[in-house]
Formats: sequence, structure tokens, C-alpha cells
Amino acid sequence: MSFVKFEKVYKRYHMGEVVITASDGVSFEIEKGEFAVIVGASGAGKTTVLNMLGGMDTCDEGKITVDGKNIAEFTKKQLVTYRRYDVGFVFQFYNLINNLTALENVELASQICKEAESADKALNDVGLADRINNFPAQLSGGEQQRVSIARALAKNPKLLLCDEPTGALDYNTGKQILKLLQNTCRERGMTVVVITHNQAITPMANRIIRIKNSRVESVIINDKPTDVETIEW
Amino acid sequence: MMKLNAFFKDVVREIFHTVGRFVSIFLIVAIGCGFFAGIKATMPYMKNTASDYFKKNNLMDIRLQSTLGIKSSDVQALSKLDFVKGVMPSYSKDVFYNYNDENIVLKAMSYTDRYKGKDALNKLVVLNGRLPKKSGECVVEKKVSSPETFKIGESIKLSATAENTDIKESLVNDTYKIVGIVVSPLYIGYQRDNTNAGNGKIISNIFLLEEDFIDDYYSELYISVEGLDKYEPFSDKYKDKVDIYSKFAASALEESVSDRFEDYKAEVKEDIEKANSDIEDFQNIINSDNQSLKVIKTELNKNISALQKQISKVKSDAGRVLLQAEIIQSKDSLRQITRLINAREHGDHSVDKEYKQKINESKTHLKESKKSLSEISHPKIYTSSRFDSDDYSSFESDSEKINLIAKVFPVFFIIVTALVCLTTMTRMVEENRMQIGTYKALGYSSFKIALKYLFYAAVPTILGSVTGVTIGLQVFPKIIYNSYKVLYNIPKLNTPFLPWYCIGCTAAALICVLITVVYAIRRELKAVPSELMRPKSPPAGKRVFLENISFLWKRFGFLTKVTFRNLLRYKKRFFMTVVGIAGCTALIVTAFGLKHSISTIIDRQFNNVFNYDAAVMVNTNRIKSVSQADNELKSINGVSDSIPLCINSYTASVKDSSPNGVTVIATDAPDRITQFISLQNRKSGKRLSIENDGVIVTEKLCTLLDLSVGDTLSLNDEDGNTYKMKISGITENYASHYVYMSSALFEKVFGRQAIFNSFYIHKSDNCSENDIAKKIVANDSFLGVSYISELGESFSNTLDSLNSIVILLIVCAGVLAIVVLYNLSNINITERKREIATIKVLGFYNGEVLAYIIRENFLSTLIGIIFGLILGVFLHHFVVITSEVDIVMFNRNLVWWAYVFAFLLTVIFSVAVNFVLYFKLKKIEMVESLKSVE
Repeated sequence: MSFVKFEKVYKRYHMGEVVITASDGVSFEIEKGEFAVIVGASGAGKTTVLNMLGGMDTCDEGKITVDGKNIAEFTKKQLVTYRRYDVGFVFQFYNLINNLTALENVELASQICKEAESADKALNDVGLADRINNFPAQLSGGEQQRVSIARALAKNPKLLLCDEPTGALDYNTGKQILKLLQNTCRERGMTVVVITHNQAITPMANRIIRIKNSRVESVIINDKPTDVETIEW
Repeated sequence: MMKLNAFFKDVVREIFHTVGRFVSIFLIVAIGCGFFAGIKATMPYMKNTASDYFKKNNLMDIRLQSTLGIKSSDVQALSKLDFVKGVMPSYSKDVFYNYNDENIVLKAMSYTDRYKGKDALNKLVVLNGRLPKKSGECVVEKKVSSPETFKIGESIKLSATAENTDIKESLVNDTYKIVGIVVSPLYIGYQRDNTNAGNGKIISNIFLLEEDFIDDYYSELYISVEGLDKYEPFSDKYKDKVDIYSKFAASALEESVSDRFEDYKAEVKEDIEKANSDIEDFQNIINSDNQSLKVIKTELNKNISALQKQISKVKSDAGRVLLQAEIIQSKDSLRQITRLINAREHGDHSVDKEYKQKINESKTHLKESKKSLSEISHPKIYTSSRFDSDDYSSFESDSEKINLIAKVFPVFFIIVTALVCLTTMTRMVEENRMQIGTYKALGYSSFKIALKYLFYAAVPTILGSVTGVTIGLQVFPKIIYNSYKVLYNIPKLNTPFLPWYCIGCTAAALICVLITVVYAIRRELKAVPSELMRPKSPPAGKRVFLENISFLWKRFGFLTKVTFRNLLRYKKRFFMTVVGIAGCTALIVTAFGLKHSISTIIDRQFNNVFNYDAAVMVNTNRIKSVSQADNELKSINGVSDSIPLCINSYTASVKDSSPNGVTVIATDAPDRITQFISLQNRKSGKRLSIENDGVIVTEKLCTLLDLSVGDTLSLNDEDGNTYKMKISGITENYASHYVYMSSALFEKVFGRQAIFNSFYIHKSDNCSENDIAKKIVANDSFLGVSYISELGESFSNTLDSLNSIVILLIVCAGVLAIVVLYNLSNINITERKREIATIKVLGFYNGEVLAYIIRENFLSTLIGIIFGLILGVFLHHFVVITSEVDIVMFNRNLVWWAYVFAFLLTVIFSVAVNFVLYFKLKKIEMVESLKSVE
């Protein structure tokens, strides 16, 4: 049994009289401990998949299994619990709370979890031990994204979801962030799902899921993912 | 021109695109202006309504009465005066009506349609049915305490108030059919005239046709004065004029009545003379023997024939009638004498006896006439005006009470409106940074850009103000007036639109809003375009001062820390919430405090200060001695104690105000008076006693005159004489002004003897007030009784209307709190959508999300409440001081439960807003978190 399994998932949005099908029978699987990349052009339906996988949205049809539970059948409250304990989320724009220090931003997540690791440690792990008392405005973009990752990891989630984690960062910083995510996957056996439009980073993944026109175009399993350092784009 | 058009289009579209913001400015301005205009207009509305009502129904200005009644000649004399516009005499009679086995007193007043135009005074307003048309019909008043049988179609049977007297001696019928329900402009409230019949209280008035009264004299004469209707009928100007004209009218009436009085006196004297001569004549006849009688007889015969000869010569009718009468009289005498002679000749003495009887009759008549001559005193004239009705004065003071509240409001609403507009417009300008930059880059001047925002804010402000004032002028005065309706009989409130209120409010609101817009936009206007094109960096997180106190900061939960930081980060909002909530709490504290301050004075005045149960007025002309009257009073079952007092009224001139009436009470038993009135200093709690070297003055009078112990108090009498006395003590008192002194000092100060014209009594607990009152009134020595309990009751009636003001204040406070909190929370939420979406993604439950946001509200609300409670103390004090009329002192203490209620209600309002907030938060989509920063 796969850790994540989408089976014929449909999602339709009603815009007045027009029905937009954002997920048109999406099916794929991701194994535990894999580094998966969901790749596709803008508007292909990646974010819809991410929303459903992250428990931020529900599907209209189909089955979404995460760790043996069909989250498609979850109530709203169950979905919150799911997000709370099972999912770590890394945003494109970091989404740190400006008014909280790095440490406090991590605490924001860790304090609501049962098996959270300490915020200090989480920041230490992402290499920000000396910046813990800084406010987001005092940190660079890469540092902010690290805080965001630390915040996601501090919850000890089963699944780390990253939405265009390098989208707002420059090339080198983006690379560092990807490296951090890859290391996290490798060292902690964390299942990491990265959503991106950047084809270039696919070689670093165990599994590449291509989305096009709201459908899964292909799923490629890469037994030998390359290190981030060697990838150029 | 083209540019302006495009610019204008942009503004209009902006309005359509941001309806929510537009509406929030519209609403806050509408609410502020509506409340203010509505409450401010209530007093003029009430006064104008009353004024129109009085004018429309030709309410009299002066009422005249005389101890000799009013005759048509008096009416004529008065109508000849220059200043008199309308004159209308009327009959009135106090009658008994047996209702529920008890004789209640009604006042029957005459109604006639005989007087037209300006003479038709005090026109009755028919609510139901019609006015009486024929004898035996009557109309009754609409009054809460009227008997239930007062319905159209019912018949009421009246009886005389004096024992063994038939009502038909004064009224044509004894039973009257009710054909209509009316109100009279003479009686606008509960109060009716006093009477010396029954228990001294008139329950209701009824109106009968003039023809139904059997009376030689009118009871009262109403006049209206030329030109007085151009004054506001509650104003001092009107009052002063009425006072002057009353004196003129009274002296004119006195002259007219005096003429009549002299005639009457002459008549009585003539009566006496005639009785005397009759007695003499009859005595002469009896004393004469038949011989001399016959001589008289012959003389009479001669006389008659002479008269008859004379009559044929007289031409005038009147002369002939006179002679005829003389002939008849002489013939009568002749017949009598012949009868006497004949009877005597037959030895019959019965006719002699008849004569003796006639002598006796004349003697009694003589005695009576002499007695009435000695008794009739010089006629007295009584004048009264509209102000003699307590209801009339209280109508004015009630309407003024509301005006005082209007004094408190504008400040709050201006602050709140400014704050709400400021936050709203600041937010708008922030959102529009990019646009402002574009305009700037295109070469628009700062002024023109500012114009857009000024225009944007001006539109909802003007619309809001006009709408608010229009609705407010209709709604609030009517709500307030309805609460008074129980007390007053004045028909529907007139609420014409008041353009000046609208213009004034709009101007004030515009100034206030436009200033805030300029303030909000000032920074953006100074910035260069490129700076504005870049998204504004969000305000950096900052450490707050609390973090320096690390032992405290460490103890705070994580969320508490966030809350503190956020509060201090959004200072404007924090400040605004604190001001809004503080205002709300302060208003509620004031509302409850005011109610307490006013309502407790009744209890204190009538239970603590006045210990006596009733005041009895003495008929000083009738009683032989004070001690005898005292004994008579004490012998009445139910009167447990009594004290004779000399009570007189004077005035004290108060700076910047009309002279205040002061009641001077003198006693010759200073040690006993404290059993009836508590004399105690409120501040020190020291008991005071009346000594011969000084007077005890009530607190409010001393405050008004700025006097303290040892100072000299000056009082004036009607004739302008001034009397000075030294103050030896200041006593607690809440209503009216009193000066207490010994009778010895009274004589020294006023230079006249202290006449004991009143008694204060204690009644035994087991006797009904009514029974005692009846017994006292039945005794000629006493004129009437007034119970403390009744005084208190009429006071509490007025105070009931305070409840509605309290409610109004609370509603305003609530609206204030809700508008402020909602507006802020709304801005707070829209600004922090991303943050909220993020924490939702992080797995916060809805409740936790609410708590995350609400803590700030909660904390700022709490701080607001604390400030509000403090502010409330001052506001309450201010309102109490300003709303006190001269003769009343409110309880200045602020009761503890005013704080508790204010706290609880504010919390309830805040919870209500946060409840709505919860649903707004629930609606925020998590997708927001994925969007880029604006």
C-alpha cells in the first residue's frame, strides 16, 4: 500500500454557469520516504492537487488515501486535525508571521502538536541557530524560507508539502533550500512532495508526476536521484 | 475637462468596487449624526408640540378667581383692558361620584360653545364621541386613573360634597350621560386641582354644559393676553410677561369686584335698616289701641285716594308703576289694620300674635344680616398661570433633561466617527498605493490625487449625514416622547424636518472626515512614485517594552506574546478600540449611575429627611389658638403626633438664574422638630439643632449661593424687602430649598410674629391615609392635608421616564461599541487574511483561529473598559451636575452596580461582535495563503 494514493480524483469549480474541471480523474501514488515532484505548467492543476493533498480543499469524486486513511471522506474538523498532525507545509512566499521572531514562528506550529520537536532544534537543523530571535523582516528570503521549513518540520509531520519553495528565491538560495529539503527526506525518511513548474529540478526526485490539462500526464520513477548541487537551470 | 471626467469615473468606480468600505463610512456618519440630531431635536420638538397645542386650543394665560365669584360685569370690565385678547368665564363645582362604594371627588367644569374666536379659551380636544349638546350630557377626561365607568354611553350620578345638600341646588341634573372622551389643554399631566372636599384630591374632571350649572356667579375667569403667543410658552420671557399682566388683570378685577362688593354691603345695610323699621312699625301697631288704629286707617284711606288722583296725572309708565305699587302697599296695610281692628273687636288676639311672630322673624333676619355684614371681608382676588400646574413645569424640565444628554453625545460620536474614518481611509490609501504612484507618475498633482480620496470620503459622509439626520429626527424624538406619553396628555409629537440640523451635522461630519482623510494620505502624497509602485514592506515586528521584563515575558504563553506585539503594532486600532469601548462603558456607567443618583433622592428625601407623614394646612382665621388646633388634630384617630409650624415662602436671588423659592419653617419647639425633619449634615454626618442665633439651611441652596456656615443668607419677600440671617448649619436635603429657624429668631429677622399656619403630623401605622385626610378636611380649622407619600409618588412617576433615557443611553453605547469593534475587527481580518489563512493551513481549529485574533480584541476591550469605568466617574459627575435643576440636589454618589452593569454590558456587546467575527473567520479560504503578497 502506497503512503499517498490518488484514485480518479475529480475537482470541479463552478464559476457562474461555467464548470471548470481542475482535476480530471487524477491518479498517482507516492511511497513513504520518497522525494516526489509534481510538475506542470501554470494552470495545469498542480495547486488543486496540492490543496486536496494538504487537506485545504476537498475533492468532488475519487479517493485520496494518506497513510491508509481516505482523507476525501474527512469532515472539515478531521481535515484540520489532519493538517495539524500529519502535514507540514512550506509556502512559496514563506508566510511567516511578521510580528513573531523566527523562534516564535516555529513555536506557532510546534505548540499545537503533540509530538513536536523543540523550536530551537528545528531552527538549528535548518542552520539558523544564531538567528532565532530575529524578526522575518530582519532575515533574507532564503532564511525566511528556512524558518518556514523549520516551522513545517517542527510538527514532525508524516508528509512535507512544498508549494514552489524556490519560486521567490534567487538561484543559489533556491538551490540551498532544495538541498535542505532533499537532506530532510534522506536523513529523516520524510515523505516530501514539491510542487513546481520548474522542470529542471525533476532529476533530484525519486518520483516525478507530470500534470497537464488537469490530468496526470506521466509518472516517472527515478531510482537514482541526483544531488541538487549537480543540477543546473 | 476630459481628465476630470476620467478622474471622476475612477472615483465612482472605486465606490462601486468597495461598497463595504463606502457603507461603513456611510453608517458611522449616519449613526452619529442621526443620534445627535434626534436627541438634540427632542427638546425643541417637545416644546414646539406643546406650544402648538396650546395655541391651537387657545390655552389661557391667566386664571382669575375672587372670593365673591365672577359676574358678567367683571367679565366686561376685564375684556375692556388693552392687553386682554380673549376672556372666558366658567363655572366649576366639586362633586362626589360614588365609585366602588367610595365617594371620589370630581370637578365638574362648564363647557359652552357660546364663546367664539379668541374668546373660546381652553378648547377641549375630543378624542372619542362628541361634545355635550343638551342638558344632562357630559364629557369626561382621558386619564389613566379615571374610573372605569368613564366610557361613552355610561351615565354617572353625582352628589353634593356637603352633607345634607342636594346636588340639584347647584346642578340642573344629578345624572349625566357620557357622550365623549376629551383632553383639556388646561391639564397636560396627572395633576388636578386641589379641593377641600372628600380626601382633598380631585380624581378627574368632567365637563357639563354651562346651562347645567345653577349659580349666580362664575367660578373662574380665564383670559388670554395679546401678543403672548409669540413667546415660547416655557420661556422666562413668557413667564415674566404673564407675571406682569397677572398683576394688571388682578387689580382690574379687584376694582370691578369691589364695586360689586360695596353695592352688596349697601344692600345688606339696607336690609338691616328695613328690618329695623319693620320691627318698629309692627311694634307700634301692636302697642296702639283700636282708637289710634282707626286714626291710622283714616289716614291711609286719605292717602290712597290722594295717590289715585295723582296717578291719573302722571304720564310716564315708570312713574305710574311706582305709584301703583305704593297704592297696593297702602291697601295691604289698610287691610291688615282693618283685620286687626276687627279681630280685637271680637276679642280675638290671634292677629296680635301674628304680628308678634312677624317681629320675631324680622329680628332673626336682622341678626343674620348683621352677622353677614360683620363676616364679609374685603374681596380677595386669586390669580394663577400655566406655571402653577406642576405638570406644566415638569414637562419643560423633562424635555430639558434630554437636552443635557445631547450635550454628552457629540464628543463621543465625533471622536468615534473620526477614528473609524481614519482607519478605513488609511486602509484604502494603503491598498491604493500603487494607483497613487501611477497617478503621480502620470503627472497628477498631489492636490488632485488627494481630491479623489476627499471626494470618495465626502460622498458617503454627506449621504450618511443627510440620511442619518432625516431618520434620526423622526425616530429618536418619538421613542423618547413615547416614554413620556404616560405622563402627559399632549397629542402626537410634531417632527418637522429641521434643515439647519441637517446642514450643521453635515458640515461638522464633513470637516471631521476630511481632516482624517488628509491625515491618512499625507505620507503617500509626499512619497515619490517609484516608492509607491513597490509594495509597502509590512511593518516589521518589533519588540515591545514588556519583553525587557524578561521574568514576566517568559511566563506569558506564546499567544499572549503575539497578542501584545500585535496590539502595539497596530497602535491606531488599539487606541480606537480603547476609545470606543471606554466611551461605551462610560455611557453605561453614566446611564445607571444617573438613574441611581436621581431615583435614590426620593427615598432619601421622603424617608430619611422628611420623617413626617403629612402636612396639614391651618385655617388661621378660624382657629382660636394654636394649642387648641393642636389638640383637635391630636384627637383625630390616627394622628399620633403633630407639631405646629410657621411656614412662609421667600425667594433667594441666584446668580445667572431666576430667583429660587425658599420655604422658611419656624418652630417654637426646636427640640421636637427633629422628630419630623431630619437635620443632619450630609458630609460630616453631624446632627444639627435649631438655636436662636442662626438658621439651618439646606445644602443645595448653600451651594447655589456659595455660602457656608457663618455666612449671611439674604431672602427677599414679594414686596422686595430683604431679610438677612446668619447660617449656623447646613443640612442634607434633595428637593426644594428650606430654611429652618426658631420662631424667636423669625420674629427678630422678619419683624413680625410667627403665625403657625401648618402642622406636620405623624400618623399611626394602622390607619389609612384616606380616613385621616377625610377627618381632617371635615374639621373647619384645617384647610387640607398633603401626604408625603403622594409627593413621593408624583416624583417617582417622573422618574419612571428616566428608564427610557437610561435605555437610550445604553442603546447608544451599544451601537458605539458594536460599530467600533466591528469596523476594526473587519479591517483587522481583511488585512491579516494571509496570516489567518496560514495558521489555518498550519492546522489551527476554528476556535483557535478565533482565539488568535480575538485575544487582541479582548485585551483592548478590557483596557477600554478600565478606562471607561474611570471616565464614567467623571462623566457621571458631569451629567449629574449639569442636569440638576436649581431646586434639586441629586445623589452624587456613583453606585457600585453601575460599574458592574457597565462592565457586563460592554462585555456582552463585545462578545456579540466577536460572535459575528467567528463566522467571518470561518469563511476565510486557505487558498489565500498561497497568493503572493499584494
